Amino acid sequence: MRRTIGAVSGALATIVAASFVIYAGLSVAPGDPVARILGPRATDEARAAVRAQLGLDDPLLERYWHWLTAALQGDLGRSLTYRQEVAGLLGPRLETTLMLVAMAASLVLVVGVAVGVAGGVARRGRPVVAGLVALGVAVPSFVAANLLIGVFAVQLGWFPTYGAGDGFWDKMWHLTLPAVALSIGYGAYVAQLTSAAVEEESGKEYVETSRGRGIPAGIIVRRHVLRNAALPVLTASGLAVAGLVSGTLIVEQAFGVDGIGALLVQSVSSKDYDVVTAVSLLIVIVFVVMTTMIDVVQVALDPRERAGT
Amino acid sequence: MDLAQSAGSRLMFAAMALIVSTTVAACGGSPTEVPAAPTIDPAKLISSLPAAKGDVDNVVWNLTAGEPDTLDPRNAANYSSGQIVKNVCDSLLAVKPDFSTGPGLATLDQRSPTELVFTLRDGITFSDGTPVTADDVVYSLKRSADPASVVSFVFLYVEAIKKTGDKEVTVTFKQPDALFAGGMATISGAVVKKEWAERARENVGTPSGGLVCSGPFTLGEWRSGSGLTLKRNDSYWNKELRPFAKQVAFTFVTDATAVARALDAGEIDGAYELPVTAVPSLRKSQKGRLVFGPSTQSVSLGVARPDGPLADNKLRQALQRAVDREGLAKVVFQGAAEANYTLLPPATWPNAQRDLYRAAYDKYVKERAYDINAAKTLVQGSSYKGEPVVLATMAGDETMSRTAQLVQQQAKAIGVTIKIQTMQPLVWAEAGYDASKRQGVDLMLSSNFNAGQNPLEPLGFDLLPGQPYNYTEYDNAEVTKLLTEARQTLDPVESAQKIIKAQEIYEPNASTVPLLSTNTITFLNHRLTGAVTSFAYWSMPQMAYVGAAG
Repeated sequence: MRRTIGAVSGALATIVAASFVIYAGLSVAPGDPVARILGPRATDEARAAVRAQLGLDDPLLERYWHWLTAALQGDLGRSLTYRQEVAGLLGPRLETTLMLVAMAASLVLVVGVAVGVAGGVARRGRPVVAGLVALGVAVPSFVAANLLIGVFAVQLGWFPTYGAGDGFWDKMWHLTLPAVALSIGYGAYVAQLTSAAVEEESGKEYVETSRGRGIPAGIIVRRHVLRNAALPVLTASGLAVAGLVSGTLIVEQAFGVDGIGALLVQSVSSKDYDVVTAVSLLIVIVFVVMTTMIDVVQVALDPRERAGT
Repeated sequence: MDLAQSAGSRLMFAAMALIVSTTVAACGGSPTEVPAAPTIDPAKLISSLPAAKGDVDNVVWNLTAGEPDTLDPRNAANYSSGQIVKNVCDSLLAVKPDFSTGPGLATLDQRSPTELVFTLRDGITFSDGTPVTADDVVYSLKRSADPASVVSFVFLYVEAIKKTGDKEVTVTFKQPDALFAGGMATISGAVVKKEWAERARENVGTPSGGLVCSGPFTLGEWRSGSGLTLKRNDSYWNKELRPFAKQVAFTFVTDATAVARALDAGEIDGAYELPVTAVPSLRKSQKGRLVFGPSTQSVSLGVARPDGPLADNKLRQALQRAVDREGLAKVVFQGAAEANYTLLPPATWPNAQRDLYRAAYDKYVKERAYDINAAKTLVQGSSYKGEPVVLATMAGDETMSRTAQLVQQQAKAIGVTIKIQTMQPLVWAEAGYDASKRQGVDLMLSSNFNAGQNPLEPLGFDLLPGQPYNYTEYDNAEVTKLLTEARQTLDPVESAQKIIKAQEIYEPNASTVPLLSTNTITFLNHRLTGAVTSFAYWSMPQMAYVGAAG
């Protein structure tokens, strides 16, 4: 119990600290957001008036405090460039991005783990798996995106070339290629770790002993090897899923999908404080939640960890 | 007398600040292959496609600059927002594909140099059926004149805006301002419904607040992040401009490669402002045609400070001869641009006075023709000692970055060392008006545009003392006198003669190295036609013209 409280308060502290770092980082970055809001031909007086109205000249700590207290009450602020509530900007985009990440995560977990297990168990399959993994890790997601669109959207016409679609099934159809492009890198990473973990467990003495006693290979793999290899695989998968969220920055751009990744890219360039902070924080929260979850699950899976408290 | 009708081209557009907000991701650009140099005949530039033949249910159009930030007309100064607002809101005056202006919601009468009277047409109604009144006009103009509005600079010399009759609004000026009337054909002169706007307050032109105007379309659904639709206003007061499309669905794809692919696959019907990098693949498309239209947009190198090595006119003149403008237009801009040799790009000459301007222009074409040896001689005769000349460009634009590299190479050939400094978009925008943000910068490679054919607009900003874009503190009494007189001269020929006379004085030691006049790049699916393809589209209800091809 104490351990759980510790984990949660640690996570909260991380999120608050991150929010300050993001806010402060953006304020030291060069550029005045008013340049974008009023355009190049405004008068100096008009610029000063808008700066005052938006509180841009207030000290950093004061502005951050305003933001933090409002955020704690559920008010994420207003976009400087879009001139609307941040929550309204995030809502529909978040839906798209979450769906994209969920689809990519399923691919990473199912395909990545399956390929990894196959590579770890079947010795003859190892070079093939290693080759696939190397390729997957080496191909950047935007190159994969262009290849996938070229073949499956332009030549074969099976999928649309851009956009996120409307309604559940249409969205799924639109996001299939982006999800594949997004999952390749992390899928390869998970496959590699899985393969290594399974291979290591397979070589351990207790497995050799079991094999010597004539226990069927399937049972050894299921009951012993996979169970013991599960910890590193789980950790890798959790981090991979969290990483997928930041991976959307590139993939959404390449597929013309307007999700939070694309929104972050635009908002950073116009120094739209509240939007940048909200989106970055969201990514931080996903990371923190994933790592906390990994911790908790590790405890559940490993009797030694449980005994440790 | 109806000035707008009788002397359309005399009316001048006010400068429209444009915030170019295309986000070109480094990962999305197409490979830097150099294609077979295409040639383009400027005379073949197309201002509009053959008229539409019939109605269509739906047109899918991409906003290549991305989702509009706001649809509040007074702040809709970038590509996407301005394009959409002009379909939903009528302005007091209207623009044609050749950039000339005529009556819009109102006709214009210049009563004296400092008094303009707008008379509202009969039968004009908002999309909700209520009439457009003089009160709505006064309210809308005052909204635009508010200091927090992007277009407030248009109203700089305005003294008062008053309702002077049931259908009459009078604007008086502190000093004559020929730029103002043209502004009334752009978003600065857009009319919103007063009663509605007062209720919507800061939500005017947002996804939640919407927009109520009198234009050919109404704002349908705006789903933040995914799309925006316009619906035909079936009760539109102007029967001549009834839209062919029942609905226009706008998409927000900003990646050049993604846009080109979607257009080529027919998933998107059309798009304006396509990036140059999309030209090679779209030129080959079977699905539609790629059109280059005349535009008042241009690319130039501007001297960014009064001191430094470029204070020496010989060095500036050397740069004028050192750049192969024709090559730049063909190779880097894929033919979607023409060489430009003076501060005033030919596209900004008023149609009726083109011959006058042409005669004065041709001299500079010869004098500034690409000639390395002549340029080298000029450098040797100058005070330049080989110190680095800092050239600033905006980050994220592949075409501009290649242009900067080409200029760097060509300057090297004449013995001038150029150091390229890339600025983030926001810093770049700030450096445009704040000298402290461009400290140490000698040259800025920028793209500019005038919303219409008005030579006075760029000249005023660049050459008059105290103006924000007069980076070199240029101050010539004779030029100031001629330009001020030209601004107050109502006769277009006389005004042109004064401008040309001023040009003869400022060009020989100009602080701008003009490079190109760029074209508006448009793609349209073969199933459709009617599109306005000159840059005037941006100031027109352009989607009303798009309809079935057969």
